[in-house]
Amino acid sequence: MRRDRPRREEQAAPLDTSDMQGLVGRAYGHLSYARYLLLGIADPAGARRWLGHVVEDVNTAAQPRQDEVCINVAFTWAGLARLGLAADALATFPRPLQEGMVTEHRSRILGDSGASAPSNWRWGAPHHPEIHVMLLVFADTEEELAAAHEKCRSEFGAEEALVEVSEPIDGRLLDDVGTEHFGFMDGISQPVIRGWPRTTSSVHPPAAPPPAKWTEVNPGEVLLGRADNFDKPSEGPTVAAGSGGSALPPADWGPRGRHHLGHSGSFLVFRQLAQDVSGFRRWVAETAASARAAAPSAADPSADRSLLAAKIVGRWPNGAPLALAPGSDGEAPAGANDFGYHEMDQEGLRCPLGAHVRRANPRDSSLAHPDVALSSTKNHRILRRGRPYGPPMVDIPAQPEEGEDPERGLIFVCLNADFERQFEFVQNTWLNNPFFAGLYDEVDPLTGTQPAGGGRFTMQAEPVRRVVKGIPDFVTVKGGGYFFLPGIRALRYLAGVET
Amino acid sequence: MTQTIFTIITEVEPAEVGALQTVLAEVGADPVANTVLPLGSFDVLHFASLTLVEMNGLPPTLIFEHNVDTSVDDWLRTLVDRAPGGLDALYTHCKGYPVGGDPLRVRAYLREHVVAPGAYHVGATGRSLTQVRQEAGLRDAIEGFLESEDGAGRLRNDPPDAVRTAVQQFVKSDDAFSWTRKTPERQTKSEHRRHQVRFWANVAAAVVMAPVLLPTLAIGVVVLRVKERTDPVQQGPADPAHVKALSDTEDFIAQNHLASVIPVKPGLLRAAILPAVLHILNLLARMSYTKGELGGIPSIHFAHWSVFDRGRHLLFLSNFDGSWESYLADFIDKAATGLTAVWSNTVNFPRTRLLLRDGATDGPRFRQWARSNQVASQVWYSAYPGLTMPMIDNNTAIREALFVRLDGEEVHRWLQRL
Repeated sequence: MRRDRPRREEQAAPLDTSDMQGLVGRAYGHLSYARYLLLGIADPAGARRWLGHVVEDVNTAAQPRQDEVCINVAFTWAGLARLGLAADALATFPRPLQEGMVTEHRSRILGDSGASAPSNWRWGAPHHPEIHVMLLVFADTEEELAAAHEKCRSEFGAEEALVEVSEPIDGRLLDDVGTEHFGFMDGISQPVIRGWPRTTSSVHPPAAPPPAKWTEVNPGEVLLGRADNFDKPSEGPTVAAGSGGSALPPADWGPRGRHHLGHSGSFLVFRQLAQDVSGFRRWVAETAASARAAAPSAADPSADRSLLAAKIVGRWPNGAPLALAPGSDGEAPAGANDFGYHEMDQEGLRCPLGAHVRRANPRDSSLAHPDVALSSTKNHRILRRGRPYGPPMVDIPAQPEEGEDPERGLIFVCLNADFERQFEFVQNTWLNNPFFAGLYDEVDPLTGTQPAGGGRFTMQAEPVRRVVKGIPDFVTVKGGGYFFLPGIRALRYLAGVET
Repeated sequence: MTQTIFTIITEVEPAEVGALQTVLAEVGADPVANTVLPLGSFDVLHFASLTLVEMNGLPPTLIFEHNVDTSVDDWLRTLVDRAPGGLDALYTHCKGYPVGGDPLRVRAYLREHVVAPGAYHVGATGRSLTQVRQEAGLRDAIEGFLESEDGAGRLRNDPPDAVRTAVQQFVKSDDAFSWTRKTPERQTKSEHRRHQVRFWANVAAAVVMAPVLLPTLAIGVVVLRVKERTDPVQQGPADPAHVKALSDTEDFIAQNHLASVIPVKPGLLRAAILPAVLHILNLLARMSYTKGELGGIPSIHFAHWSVFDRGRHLLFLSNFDGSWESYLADFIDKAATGLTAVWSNTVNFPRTRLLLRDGATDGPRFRQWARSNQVASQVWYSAYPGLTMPMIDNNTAIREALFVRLDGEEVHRWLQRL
């Protein structure tokens, strides 16, 4: 029999940060360097022994911020199977984790087509070696990162238990305010977990904590088995008591007698997104120049390079949102996050309806009723934990030539409790939706996969809207995967499964 | 102009299921222009689907969904006249189909199997397929005009009235748009009045019947509360293979299709509640939801519920914008009460209180339940794969206000629609 309501004491129980991996609580924005190791399990018994050791080194969300190396560990569904998790437990994972990021339907809704199609990926597609485990390593300096990698390798490679099946991916912060490669402050608008013992930090938390109205979500939107926005436990994977599962708390859903493998855990989305920075800057400059040439005297948002770029993003480079700062970046505080669209900009005259940040978080603007719109939006938030990779771009190359520009981009990492309702929804219903907010056939101008011949972007304006065309892909997917980020007790359980 | 929504539900000869599947696969591979039943050849058909249902407790059944701009009889006449071979190819596998192809008998057979909706919603109320297409063409032409003016550096600095006048002159200058001045209202006043009269007549009848109804209701509520505590509910997620098969067919065009066939909970109580709820919802839908939205959901083109199989099964068919996930999110966030009132009368629905409470508000369980009970349609046709409901409404609003007198604020709002 099913129990319909979460037990109250479980609901009320404080969040046990010591059982959570650190990534739930922080993006390690104080550690400039990160390396993501993509591992395959060669010897399951050895891998379990390794996990039993490494769990002691995993940084938890309860530990104070520290400058030493921090590691987290996540698993694909194939990895959990390879590790020896029982079939009855594997079947309790959600379908997206079981199937992975690459299916025909999923590629369709995530926008992974054209240059971003899995057939063009560098890793993570079916024609690549299967990834089982990801080790996330964060360090203060490059030397420490290299040393940590060496140490990890000596541990997981000792009995040839695990092998690196793909080139490690290096993340690197560009500055201490969270700027991404296009030059805009990133990671500003983050959901905040209700009841979290301290402010959940983004890469670089703004000085003033954003008001709960815009940001607060129930813990179950990120953590499994906790009350979600529907006040029911977010269903996570479960294991049988007999398998040693009684070390884990009992599950509040599904058949009786199952234990909660997802306790203190979350689901992690990882995507390597290459950014064509010179292409972006060139396109913006050329589009602005041709707008000026066509109508030199017109008040035209596309005629000004920085305004056009800000219209595409929905914020100025310093993070000031167009909704508050329509004319210049000084009209609102850098990184301001206390605003909605409904009252001051429902028509999109300030921040275009299809601007990147408005698609990624429509706040209170998606419906006629702002309160319903906002509470609806909050059912589709993701906790971002990514960072840039590749060298910063200093100047616009005068004559960019193919091949000499090193790759750079964003390592997109986010946590959510429900891939379909959260990450995939944001990607499909908001960012890639050609008809978002009543628009006619255009996708996210910054991150979208554009149609052949280039995409279009509408900027609401007076007397009539301005449309810019011929937008190329500025972002290309290079690889990705869906992972389970277990809690600490769950890691111990996984280390002890018997096959 | 009134749209008609209905299904033709027929029992399939068990031995013929495989043969029917072959025909459905051929039609489904190219619903617009296949040689069996080219659905794109009808200029009054908005959406259609063919669903072969095989499930426990129901004989193999073929459900043919129609959303048309004409009456049932006129539409059946058109179908039989223009696609006799296609109908033969499908229905020869169904019980009782008159072999020999006599048009009168075929029409009578289809008529006999028509199931009218218990409750339905039309997004583009009062707008024919022709009108939807004409208005989309008009908007595209205006878009093209603005592009070329803009490319030449014109209009950007002009006052709003001048821009509007330029657009009006552009439309007037093209004889292809002469229809813009005589298209009818979305819903005529007499239609609207009829629906209002019907609604209030129902209210009056309920008041008159109150002395009988209230005691029955009181007993009903007690029984309902007992059942609501003990009825079995959805257990865990839908079978991954089932969901994968469904999602493989989704997200190709602007709209998606959802079909579900669910057993009604046994017993007198549900048999009484379900038709009553559908009746009330239908009255409300005719009264209130004629502006494109259904209870705050702006994305539904055509949707309906009907009870069939002698009251034992509830059918739901919907043609909506965007993904299944976004549709279900709309259900949960905006229309949970009405949906709960209907679907809680079918098996395994998430736990409810007093018919209207909880239920669909338990988003994750409601999504699991909805996927578990969804059935795959072998054929699905959309007459306008690139038009969303907000686009259709916006196109209509552009046309409606094209030549009427507007004040300054109205001109601003009209220009923002372009």
